[in-house]
Amino acid sequence: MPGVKAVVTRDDFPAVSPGSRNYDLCINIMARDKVLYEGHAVAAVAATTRDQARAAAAAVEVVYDVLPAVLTIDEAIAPDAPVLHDHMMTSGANPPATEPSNISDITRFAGGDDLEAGFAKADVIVEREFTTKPVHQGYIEPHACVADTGQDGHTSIWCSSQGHFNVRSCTAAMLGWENTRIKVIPAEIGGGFGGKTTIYLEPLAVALSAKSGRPVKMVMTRDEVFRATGPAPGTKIKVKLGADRDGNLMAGDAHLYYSGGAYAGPGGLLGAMTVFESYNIADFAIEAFNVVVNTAKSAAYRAPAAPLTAFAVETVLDEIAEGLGIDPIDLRLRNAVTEGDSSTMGFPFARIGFIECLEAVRDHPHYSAPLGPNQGRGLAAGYWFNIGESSSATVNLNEDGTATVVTGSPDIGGSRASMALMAAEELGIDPYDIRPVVGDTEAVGFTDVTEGSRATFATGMAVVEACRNMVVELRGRAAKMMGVDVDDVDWVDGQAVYTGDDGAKDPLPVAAITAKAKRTGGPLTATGSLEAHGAGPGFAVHLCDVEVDSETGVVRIVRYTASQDAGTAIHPSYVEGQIQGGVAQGVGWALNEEYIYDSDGVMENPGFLDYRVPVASDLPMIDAIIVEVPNPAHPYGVRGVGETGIVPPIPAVANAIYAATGCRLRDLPMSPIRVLEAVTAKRNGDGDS
Amino acid sequence: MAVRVHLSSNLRGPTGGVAEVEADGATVGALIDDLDRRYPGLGDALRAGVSVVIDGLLVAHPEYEPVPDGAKIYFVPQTAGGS
Repeated sequence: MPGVKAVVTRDDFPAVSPGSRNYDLCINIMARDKVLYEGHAVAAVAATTRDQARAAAAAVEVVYDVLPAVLTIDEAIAPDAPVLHDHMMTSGANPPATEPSNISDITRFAGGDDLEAGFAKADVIVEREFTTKPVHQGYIEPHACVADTGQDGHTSIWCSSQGHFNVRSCTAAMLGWENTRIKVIPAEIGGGFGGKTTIYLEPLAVALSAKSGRPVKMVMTRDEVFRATGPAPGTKIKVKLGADRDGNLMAGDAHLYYSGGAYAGPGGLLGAMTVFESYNIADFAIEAFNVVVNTAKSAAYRAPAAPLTAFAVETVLDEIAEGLGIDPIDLRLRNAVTEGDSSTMGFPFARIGFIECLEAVRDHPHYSAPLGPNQGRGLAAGYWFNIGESSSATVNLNEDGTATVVTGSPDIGGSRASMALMAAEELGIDPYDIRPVVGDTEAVGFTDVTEGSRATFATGMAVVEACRNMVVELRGRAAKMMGVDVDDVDWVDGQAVYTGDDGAKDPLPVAAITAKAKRTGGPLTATGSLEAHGAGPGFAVHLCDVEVDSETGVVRIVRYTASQDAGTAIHPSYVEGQIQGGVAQGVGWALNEEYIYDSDGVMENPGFLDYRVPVASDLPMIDAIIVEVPNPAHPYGVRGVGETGIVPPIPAVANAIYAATGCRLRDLPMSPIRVLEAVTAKRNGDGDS
Repeated sequence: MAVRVHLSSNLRGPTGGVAEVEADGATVGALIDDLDRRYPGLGDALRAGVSVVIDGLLVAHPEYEPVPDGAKIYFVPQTAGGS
């Protein structure tokens, strides 16, 4: 066809087998034997113009043997369900699985002595079931890349992602190449929120570039983003909690089902790790299932899995508080985990700030402010564990005493500013004299994906380490210039200061040392690379006021206050922005957002017109309270802050709607039609409350 | 020197449901080897992907992490994150 330069299909990529590393990733990027969802790529075409490429792609003929679609968790786990993957034997099944199924794995946690005895001690028991739909991360920039593969067999990729080293290794895995043949240059990112921790396009662009001998640019349309990339999973969650009359949680039982889309996801495990983590519960049992269905492979979204377990637990707690006549914050304070308490997984928490977050909201004027007509107030808490992983940083001092800090962490929420601030603190120079940049895969040491709220925590630790190594070097250079022993030189407020007893010597600022670097040993460069241990868990407590229009079911957020433990807020306004962003996304998840499929699995709302995310006019000013309980494992006390803020909004909104209407909504989204149905049913006397 | 090892409840199959056991090893990797000798099959489960908490610090990839004398080691599922 005119203008067509290259076509690739499954035959252009190495065969992969179930169980091999990156198997799911590879067969998701390009379907092999089975197309598992609408939007699953089967071919890629490169042409001179976009229209020519579209025409050529439309001319690709595919003969499908149409199979029945499995679209919901209930359909997938039914005994006679069509099986998506013939090799999928349920891991963790007891007795061990002997036949394939759509349940990829089961995780079980338990604690205490006797669950039934625990419930027997309870004066009030509430058991409820909740369902949620897949939702989009809401990033505005679609997935996009440019690949240029040369005749030397090496390629350069320009793309925006949450981790360009991960783009390199995943692309190499798909192509069967060595990592060193691929250079990935990070572009600024137009939003990720977890959705850009994986790849879809890059190996195809590289293969097309190799075939055509030209650079290849690929940009998804919005429609393609919705159909072919990963949303957060849908869920079905049942939670049962029992408390004594004083509000002490005696027992908890949770059954969690997470839909990973067409391939196994981690949702079940993460849900199990978060569902009861905020509270001391004497006896508990958790059972979590990862399920596959014929929709796009799910991907991470801020605090994956946790907002949905919080939806269940925090609304059940609201019912318990009401049933016992206990203030919802008092109920949580009575049961909140604190330093030394045991996590669900058995280890004792280090210093954490959950109680401080509860107290911050309790003491805020919002908590006792009067409500207007048709308004209700809801409270909810949230937890996310945060992670560490590997990071690298290089600090280069320039001839004029300014500095460049190079890290490998794509900046998805203001982390560069935090890197500059930490470097400034260590070196004792003005933050505006520091240029923080994100280096490509050949310019800085290996760095894991920006995920798990790890960038300011872990990459910040690498920056601090690099700066401390730099200070050692600066002291040595200054000692040479002063003609003294290095042990007699300290680094104080950005200057080398002589502390020996051989008379007074003028301090040497950074610029004086860099100006003579050629004569004292050459350029001043220092690095820090580490695997960060001790990620500090994050807790948040949110308070939400809503106003419900009982004639239309529309819910308006009228006031919102969010406290969150940041450890130490390196850049407070960015921390505030992270909290506010999490709230905005959580409110959208609560009220409007869902992937809607027809009976064949075709998505019916693949655009921001029909998939409605909140806009500024939908939200009040979100009052962020930054609580600072330092993480003892970080040199400045940092905890990750990027994810926890999305955990409490769904139950906070649900509890507020209940307070306003007397209706408990346990299925997301709590859209106008659902709210109206619930309010109408209650008005007619047949509502569940 | 033997140390106390705590297993999260999803890892207790090979120990018959016992949460805390003793094991010996200078590093977490050596500890896992010893645990596998004492409880056949546990090594595979631990090597498949666990983190440990040592003296309050979560260590995601602990194979070569030293085991301090008298420490209590908590094995927990390996964590990954989202945004």
